[in-house]
Amino acid sequence: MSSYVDKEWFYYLRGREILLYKMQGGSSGQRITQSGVFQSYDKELMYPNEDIADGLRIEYTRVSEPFVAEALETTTAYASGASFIFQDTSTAFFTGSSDIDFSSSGNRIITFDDTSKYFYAGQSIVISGTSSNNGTFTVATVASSTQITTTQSLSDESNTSAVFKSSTGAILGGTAGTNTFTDFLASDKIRVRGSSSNDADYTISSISSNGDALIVSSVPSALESAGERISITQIPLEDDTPDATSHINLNKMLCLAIIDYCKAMLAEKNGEIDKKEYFMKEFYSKLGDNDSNKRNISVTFPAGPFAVK
Amino acid sequence: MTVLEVMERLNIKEETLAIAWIKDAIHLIQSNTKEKVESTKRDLIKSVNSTDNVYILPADLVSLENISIKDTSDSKYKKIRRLTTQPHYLAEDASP
Repeated sequence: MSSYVDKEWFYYLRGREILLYKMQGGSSGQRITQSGVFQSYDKELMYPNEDIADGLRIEYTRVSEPFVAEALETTTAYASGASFIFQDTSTAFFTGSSDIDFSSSGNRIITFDDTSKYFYAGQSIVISGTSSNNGTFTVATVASSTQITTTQSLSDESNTSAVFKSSTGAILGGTAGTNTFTDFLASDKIRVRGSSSNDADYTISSISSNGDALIVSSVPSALESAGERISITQIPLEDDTPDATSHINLNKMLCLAIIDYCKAMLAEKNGEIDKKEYFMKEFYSKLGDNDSNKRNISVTFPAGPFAVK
Repeated sequence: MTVLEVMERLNIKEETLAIAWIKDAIHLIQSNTKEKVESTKRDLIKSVNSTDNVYILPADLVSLENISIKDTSDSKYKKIRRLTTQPHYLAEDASP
């Protein structure tokens, strides 16, 4: 077990490599002898002597997603609530036991529980466990809290058991017909946080007609009922093949800085070094402005935390 | 702001050149400020010699912020300190 790692572990940078060491402690047989460097600790170093899954965490800046499909200033869609439901394609989201009626009149499925929160108009569902209504159906309407209709024909069947699965991965708002996801659009990329087992980034394939469900391209890893407070935040969608219509993944101030940089490069290309110097100065000035814009409020904080979860 | 807007403000027509300059500028921004910070995790392995304790820095790294090790006693990542000089290797000296 590793403990006091902030005091006993060290790294050394060698070119493109990180070399890890830890204090020798009581393991004298594995020590790396040295003198002078760690006199104040009165101990010596050794190589790490244990396996730790995901034990090394490197925090760094990188050029990631330089171009995105939508301007950063408009990437603002957000929803939060404790009623969100996740549906995968392999687990039944609703099961009835001798208490479901199928009616050919109006293609209705009638349940005796409040099931409306599990369904949305346009939902593709797979029904099994019935005598004559197994198959894939599309929900036409969520007519009431205990009744849905389908676009396909149904056969009359009463007091039957049935298993309902979703054909697609989806995130439901939890109240049928309520436009919970009004801010979101198809193709938006979203980040889910706060769920029990479905925290991840998703891309929205489509949104239900009532705005009460997000159909996502990658299926959630598990069925999840309402309960956890979950936030869904839009994040920039990378443009892998940038062209003239691509947006720069920076705020307006930094985009203006980029223009100064490009002007500097243009001046250099034309042999106008004085202009290049001027625009580079403008570039760094805007970088400074952008940083200082975030620091207009005085803050007081305790000593920097060493630990992050 | 789109690439086209940048090109129009610069009065240039070379799209590829504009994209290359924008990437260069973003690289410079990332090098000077912390506009976008990422993190990655690697498994730590038990080391028996000086080749086992070597980990490759991320290839797309622009600037290093910090390095942490997972403290398994409380499952938290804690920042560790950098050595300014590399320790000697007794293992390599003993088995050349």
